[in-house]
Amino acid sequence: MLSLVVKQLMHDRLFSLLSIGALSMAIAVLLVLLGFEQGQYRQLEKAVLNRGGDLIVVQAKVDGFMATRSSIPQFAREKVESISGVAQVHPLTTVPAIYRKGANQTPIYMIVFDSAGSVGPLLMGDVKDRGHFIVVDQSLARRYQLSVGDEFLVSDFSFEISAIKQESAFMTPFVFINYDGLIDLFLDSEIAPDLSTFPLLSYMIIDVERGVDVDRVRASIEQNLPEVDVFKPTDLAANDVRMGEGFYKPVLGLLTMVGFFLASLLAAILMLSAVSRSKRDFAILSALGFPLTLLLKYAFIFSLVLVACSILVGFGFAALLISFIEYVRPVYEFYIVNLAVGLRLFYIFWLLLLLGSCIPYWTLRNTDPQTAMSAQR
Amino acid sequence: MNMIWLWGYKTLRHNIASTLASICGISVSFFLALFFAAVWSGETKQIVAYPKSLDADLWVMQDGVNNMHMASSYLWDWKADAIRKIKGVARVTGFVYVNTSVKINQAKLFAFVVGLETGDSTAANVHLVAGRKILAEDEIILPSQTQSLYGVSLHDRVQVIDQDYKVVGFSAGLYSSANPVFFVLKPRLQKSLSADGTLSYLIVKTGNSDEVNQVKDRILSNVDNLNVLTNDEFIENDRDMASQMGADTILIMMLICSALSTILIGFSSYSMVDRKRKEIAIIKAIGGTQRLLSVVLLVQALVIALFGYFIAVVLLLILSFILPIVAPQIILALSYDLLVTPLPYVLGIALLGASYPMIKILKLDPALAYASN
Repeated sequence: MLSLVVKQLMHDRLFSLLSIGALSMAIAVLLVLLGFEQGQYRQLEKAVLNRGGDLIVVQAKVDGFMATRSSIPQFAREKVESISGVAQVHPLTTVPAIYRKGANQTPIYMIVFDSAGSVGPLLMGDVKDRGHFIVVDQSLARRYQLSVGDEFLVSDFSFEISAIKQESAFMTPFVFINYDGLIDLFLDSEIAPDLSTFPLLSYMIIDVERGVDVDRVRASIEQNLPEVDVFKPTDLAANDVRMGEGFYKPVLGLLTMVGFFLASLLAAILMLSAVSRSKRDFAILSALGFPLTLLLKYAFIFSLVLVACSILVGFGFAALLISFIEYVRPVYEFYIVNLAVGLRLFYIFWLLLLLGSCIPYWTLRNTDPQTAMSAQR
Repeated sequence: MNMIWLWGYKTLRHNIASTLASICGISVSFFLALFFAAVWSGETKQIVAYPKSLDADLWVMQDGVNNMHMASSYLWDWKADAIRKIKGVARVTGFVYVNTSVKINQAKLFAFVVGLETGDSTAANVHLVAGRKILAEDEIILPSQTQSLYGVSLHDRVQVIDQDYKVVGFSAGLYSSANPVFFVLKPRLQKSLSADGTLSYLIVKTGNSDEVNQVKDRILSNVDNLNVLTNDEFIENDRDMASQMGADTILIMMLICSALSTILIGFSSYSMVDRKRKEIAIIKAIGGTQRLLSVVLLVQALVIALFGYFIAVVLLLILSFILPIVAPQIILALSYDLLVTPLPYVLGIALLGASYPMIKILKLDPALAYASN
């Protein structure tokens, strides 16, 4: 039966190609949407995990890193450093801003680092921990044709690009500056009455001494400093992902639903069309004494081959589309090779297969063996 | 000639299931792209909803800042007093504006929080659908959609950064997924931000609307380190940034869905030509021109594509009535431009999809009409 299906598909290659092309394109749309959603969660997760450390200190009652504000009193650092088990404390500040060049503007997330919690692997250039240097995300570099050594203006304050890396989340590219740059930016912009009111410390990244229980250090910090809360990076990342789910799921969920409806509709159309084109072949098989169950088996295998090929080709299409989008706009990350997408693809496969197998039932059931004797076209 | 047009019409009618199926496929495909564009357009509209509601003449902000959405602006609060003394300035209202996450019950949402000087500040020029204006520092006004989405009621507590607030009112027209606007009084918000003595934006009302540009110049020359924009400039900057953020994604979605529609039209036209090749050969044998046959095929493709597009638009219109009830966090903005601008592309898609089947018609040998069955 499988060879009959394959022969049928090979017999009318263009029809088969168009069928697989259409269904695979719909599956690719679905995969791109699912991959986009998962990619956004992954970026949110990485935004925290990439900062490193064993613990992250935040303002009391604040429980996220992205799209939130945290402001810790500056004296807190000294207190945390004095707690037993704390090996090192790295300050970190985040400032949302808008980058503007010519007629274009992009929201950016400025991460201010000192001794750690910053940059990670670079695409080009070096990180400078002193002076007015900035590391920019690749998407900004590409959109505004920026390179290492170029000027980068934030609120009319001039930075020099020292490196380019790839990191963004929440559809916002990251840039990294050191505290020299931040203080001069604040002073130059004259934005607060005095230095004490600057939001200079948003987070602290803590390295715990080797062999010391991380939970004990965490409890100890929270007990000694009521003005802060302490999280393990994975917990903080999970909170951000939850916030991201609330933001993305309604729209992307609806889009995915429409995409799934489109794929189902196509599977039904294509199977109906294929069966209708092969009506005479079915009539011949029927005239030769093949029972209805065998014809249905044929429809099932045809549907299986069609859906399986479409999923494979759709995966290829999706990978191509994603590569293109990620190249043109690296601010978006797509993540299709993961359990969540895999599981949904598995369900989609079975649903399309079931639909494709059931749709031709009435046509096959009403096949008249006499049609076999009629004119071909 | 008329006979060939009639044949074209009957072909579509005869294969009504296939025609309808193609139209459905194309309509869902267009719907996907249009829906995405309409959502983004809705978000863009909501992003400027708050600044538009204030009806300011001038906006004053930190030097180097040009808009509100996703921006940070810090101004010394004494600058508001300095501006009040400038000739032509009738009223100056300052407020703190911050994008942060807000906790409502167990949910966390991305929000924009406005810190007002007083509860009846002109920066809170919103229509309340329930409750009252803010009277105390621990009170907050939420967008009305939060009631159904998060089950929050008057007198419930919500958390902004590190502070708890009591819900005293619900506003209308200031909610979308990317831009829900909340109102509190500024002292607590400044405390949360460790930013005492600072404001984010000042809205300036001039005594004479003809003097807006002169007042703008006076402010810029009298007070250092700030930026002043007219209301139109400021709102346009916000709208422009939101549009820029979505333009690429919309284009990509449009391209994907257009490719899918092209394949579907190609599939439909090819199937028709393949099924009717003997009839086409007969038409050619009795003198039907290739040009006319190609035009008929193209018109068929156009009809399918346009019907598909039309159904997509109708579906979108229906959805725009249903969504506020079932998913109020999704704001659709349908405009003439959004719905009509893609039409030339639809025609291009029909032409592209019908191109290979047209070549097949051109190559079809009329002698096939005489071939045995």
